Amino acid sequence: MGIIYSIGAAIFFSLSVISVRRGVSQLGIFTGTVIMLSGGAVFLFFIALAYDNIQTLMAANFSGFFFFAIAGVIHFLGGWGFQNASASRIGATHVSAMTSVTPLFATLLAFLFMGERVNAYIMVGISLIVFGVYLITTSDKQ
Amino acid sequence: MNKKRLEGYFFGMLTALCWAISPIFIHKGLETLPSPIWGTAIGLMVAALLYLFWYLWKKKWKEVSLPVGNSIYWQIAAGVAGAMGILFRNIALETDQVAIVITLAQTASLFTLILAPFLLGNQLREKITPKLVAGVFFILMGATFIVLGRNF
Repeated sequence: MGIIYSIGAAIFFSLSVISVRRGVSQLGIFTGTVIMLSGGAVFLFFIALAYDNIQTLMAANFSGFFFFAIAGVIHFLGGWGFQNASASRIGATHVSAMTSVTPLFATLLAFLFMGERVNAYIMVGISLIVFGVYLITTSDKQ
Repeated sequence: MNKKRLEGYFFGMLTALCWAISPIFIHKGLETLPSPIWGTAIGLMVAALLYLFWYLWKKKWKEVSLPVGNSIYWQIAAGVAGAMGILFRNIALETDQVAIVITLAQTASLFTLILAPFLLGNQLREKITPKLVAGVFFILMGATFIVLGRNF
């Protein structure tokens, strides 16, 4: 079931960036982002109420809220904001491809701040991503 | 490449960077709030409130050029689809290995290539070139190698 949910997640992420492209073209980045964040927040609040026990939330302490709040600001305010700014400039297909380099940044951060080792798989992966980014950034010259 | 497109690629990279940083704080948050769904909902609500305050303070709605047509509905759909994506990924993470879930979630760019021509409409239709498709393929292969390299 996990594989089906993972593919479902990919389809929803894809639908999200395509919808952004249609929305921000007329609303602009700032208004588009505020509507996207508000709509997503209200929706996810009700999903959380339906899917999970509210007692879990009540039992949490301040640090749990604090770290999730920081994560939310970085992922949604930063991530969705930059995604909207990017989609309005280069389109849904290009921004979607660019965000696929997330594992590369995660690896670089782990290497720099957590002392994680870089093995042959990772080196091959980095090379492939760099070449892929080069192809995408030069693809509109055809 | 013109300045507008260069900015677009730079913002795309910043998006990926933000999405690489946030799991560090999610991991810390889960230590005392063991619910990824509630945690994500809290994060999204905090982000929405902060942005809303800034948006109202700066009166950014004045920059909207009317008429907006169906754009509002598309943006709400974008937020709901993004939230659904996170919900599905979190459910998958509860049952499957991180390496498999993250790798499959990265295939979003492939689905965008397939779905965009049907959903973007004639005005916004984007040119799908062989170079773009090859670039997506190489990035996905690279992401798969990195996820495998970090997990095995």
